[in-house]
Amino acid sequence: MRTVDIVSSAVVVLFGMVLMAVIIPGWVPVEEGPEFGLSATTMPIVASVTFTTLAAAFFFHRLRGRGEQTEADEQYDRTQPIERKNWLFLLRGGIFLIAMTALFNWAGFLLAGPPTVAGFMLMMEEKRPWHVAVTAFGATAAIWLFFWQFLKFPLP
Amino acid sequence: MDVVLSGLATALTFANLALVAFGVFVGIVVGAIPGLNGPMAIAIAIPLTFTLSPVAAISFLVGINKGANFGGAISAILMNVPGAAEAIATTFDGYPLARKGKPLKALKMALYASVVGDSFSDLVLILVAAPFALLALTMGPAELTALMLFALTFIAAVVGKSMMKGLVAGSLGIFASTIGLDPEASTPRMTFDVLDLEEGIPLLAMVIGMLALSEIMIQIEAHVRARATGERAGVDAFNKSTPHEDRIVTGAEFKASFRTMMRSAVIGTVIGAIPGLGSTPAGFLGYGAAKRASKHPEEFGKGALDGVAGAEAANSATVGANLIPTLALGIPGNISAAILISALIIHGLTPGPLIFEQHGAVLYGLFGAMLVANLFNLVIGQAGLRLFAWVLSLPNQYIHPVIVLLCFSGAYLITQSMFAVGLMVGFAILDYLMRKFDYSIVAFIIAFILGPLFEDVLRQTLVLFEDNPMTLFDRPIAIGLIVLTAYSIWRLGFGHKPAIFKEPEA
Repeated sequence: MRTVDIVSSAVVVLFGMVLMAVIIPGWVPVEEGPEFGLSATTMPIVASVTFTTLAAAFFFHRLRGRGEQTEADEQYDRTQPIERKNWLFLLRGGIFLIAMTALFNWAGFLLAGPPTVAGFMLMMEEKRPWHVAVTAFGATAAIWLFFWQFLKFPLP
Repeated sequence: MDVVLSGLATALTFANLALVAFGVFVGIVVGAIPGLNGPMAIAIAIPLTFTLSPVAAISFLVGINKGANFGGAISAILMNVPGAAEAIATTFDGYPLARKGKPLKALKMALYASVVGDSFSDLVLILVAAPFALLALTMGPAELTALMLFALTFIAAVVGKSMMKGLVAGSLGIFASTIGLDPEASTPRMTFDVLDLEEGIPLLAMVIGMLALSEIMIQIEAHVRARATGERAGVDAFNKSTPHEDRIVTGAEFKASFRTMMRSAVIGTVIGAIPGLGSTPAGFLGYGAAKRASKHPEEFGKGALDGVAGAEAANSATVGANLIPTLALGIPGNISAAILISALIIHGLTPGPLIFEQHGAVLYGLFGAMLVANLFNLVIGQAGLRLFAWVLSLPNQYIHPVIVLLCFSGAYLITQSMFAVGLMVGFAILDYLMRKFDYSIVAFIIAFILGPLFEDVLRQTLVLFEDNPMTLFDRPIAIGLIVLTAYSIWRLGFGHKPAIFKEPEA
């Protein structure tokens, strides 16, 4: 956990610095506002400074190590919260979700629904083709009808 | 009085009652399935309520919340797998009771305790929320700023293992809430010329992504791993050879456990009213108190009926109490309350002290629906135990992919554009990483919800103090809250956390 804490806090610090140096100045116009209260940039900057400072403090705190460690602290540090297989799953699942979102956008719900359900069923090791097909098409049709007929919100 | 009666009349229409009953049913089913939980179900259900009236919509969602709270106990008792974290303490005696051949007795005791705890906390909510809101109305922007600062710090401190990470997550949430048009001059902030972002990040896309889609992804991953290590076994709740007295909770048993239920209901209500603590520590404290007060503490862990009653009454008593800070102050007590806040906002209600004045009828309608939901929980829970036990045997590989599809369709409904769907997927991935890296999503979401309000009151405070910042010292409540914030940072962040705030060990 210690390594993960160090890496994740470094990423947050980097993100905060990019926000403060590039994104906020570039995407929050500094206009003549009212003479009282806060300008449009104040809250984004306050929030960015807060999380960047906290993450930097946490980074150094974890890098230096704690003074006194209880058994629970040591056990917590030994835990491996994310492993190679988790990254692979995230990559596989993430790419699949993004691809299905693109398919939704391009082909609509009725065409994108069945592959989404079938894809996840196969990911969960359901190997019976009839079960996959019936669930994928049945669920898509049922949800589509429910939204169209019952909620009066037709899906794309 | 007219407001109360008109609210109750709205809540008690046939259509509304049917929605509450349906909500409770859905909640129990979802809660019973390990890995699925109340907040997830509420998040997915919110888009389905767009066409409903505010009272009907909120009543339906509250029904789901209440049903899911009891539903978690079903898998805890029959499979030793809590449907949600709050039911962990229920496994301690529920599962041993089931193994002794008394699963139905354990389930029924869990149901009765859940209804008693929940009803008690609802009554406290009804009695306390309005006076609390009146008190909050006397607060000015300085007090509200200090209060919000305290709530955010406290929640960040208690929800995770590290206060620093909680605060990082909270400030990231506030930062995310600043995206969109600036409330003062309508200046676009970090919208990247995307029209859909001008209204800010849609709360529901975030909530569905982080609480539903991401959770399902984690469950799918866990499912694949569980299949590799073998399936888990459960207890048959409807074994015909079980004697009648082991299938029911007798009057004497109920009477004997009633004291435990009431004690736990008080514990759960107090814990629930404190933002950030939630139902899991309440369940543990209720269980612990029942064990300490018992004449036979040695029976705990081996199938004590009082153990089930103590844990269930306490975790259920947080449901109503969570709404005390939510409705009176606009500060959500836990993640379910945070999602209910988003539902209220979508239906045109702004939680906070003014809600009683501006939407009194809706609120009393909600209170009426909550009480009715407890009754439905009892009736549906009792009548449907066989069905809910059967639901546990449904294979996850059919349920989870269909929920993914519901997430997609729900997210589409928010803005009727694919933009919200894309954001939902992005937040699901962010949530997956935050959970693995142990950054609190509760702090993130609650800060995101409170962000605009915080900015608003901070702006007013700065205007107020522009001429003379020393006038802050004329505001003892604000000073007191600032001192409390500093104390909680010192006590919870740098000192040793009191046991109640530590992550429970199963």
